[in-house]
Amino acid sequence: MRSLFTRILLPVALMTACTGLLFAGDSSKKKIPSPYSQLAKAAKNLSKIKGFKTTLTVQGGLSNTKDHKIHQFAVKESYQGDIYKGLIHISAAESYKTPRKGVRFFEGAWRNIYSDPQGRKLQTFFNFPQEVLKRALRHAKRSGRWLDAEQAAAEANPAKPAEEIELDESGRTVVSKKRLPGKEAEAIMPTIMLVETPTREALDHYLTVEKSGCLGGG
Amino acid sequence: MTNAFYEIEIDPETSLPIRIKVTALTGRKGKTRRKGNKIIGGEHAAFHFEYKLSEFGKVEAPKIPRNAQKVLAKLK
Repeated sequence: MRSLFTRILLPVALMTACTGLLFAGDSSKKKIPSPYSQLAKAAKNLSKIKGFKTTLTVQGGLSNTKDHKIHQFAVKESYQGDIYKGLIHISAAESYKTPRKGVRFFEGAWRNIYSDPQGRKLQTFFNFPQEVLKRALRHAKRSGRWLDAEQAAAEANPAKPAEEIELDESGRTVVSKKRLPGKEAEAIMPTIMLVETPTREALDHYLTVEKSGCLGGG
Repeated sequence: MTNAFYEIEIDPETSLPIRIKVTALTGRKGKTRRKGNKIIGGEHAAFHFEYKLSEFGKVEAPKIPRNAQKVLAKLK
């Protein structure tokens, strides 16, 4: 009975323990959440917040580079707005807007935001970030990916340089490596995601810009 | 040909979005370089909308002027 234990059960138990350790060592990879789940969490958290500040920068025109940087501008605008529940207040443009309508103070009176080109542009360009996130979320499951996942993984589990190099008593070189503690590895997460939209939505985005009149009919 | 994508940055501590960039691209016949359905260079129209979010929970309800409220209420 004792020999059965030492010959079979003990090695099996040891093997199980080693396998467990192996997987535990690789756990940092498993802890990177999906872009979809993180985006859903971010959208939910944002929806709980009543008020925050937003800066919107709009740049549009012609590009001829891989990074789509614009060299010939058709539009270059910047807005600062305070968002509170379903209302955006853009103080510099003397405007208040909801997702569907807005008012702007110009020529001495409060008027419909669509009454002048500046207001129309503002209403078209400045969307509620919550709405933008909702649109992105629709496609995140299919096309969402982390842009900095590799960097985060490398930081969480780097090919660490030798921490200590020394000679032991027999003259052999001893190299000791330290691993990041579990919590530290857990904290390093990717933070930037890319979500691609289907062609139809891409076209919608472009038509919205065109409708704003900022392209000047060109 | 049109492409669009969102680039979203999330604060790992608060799990709140701090930057949302929407890019919309349209190719020009014979001038745009593409790889499959993706625009990768050459001449093309590009639009970038970049939102930066901050001061979460620190913004109070705005005081809308009475006349502005009246106009806003009349609009459909």
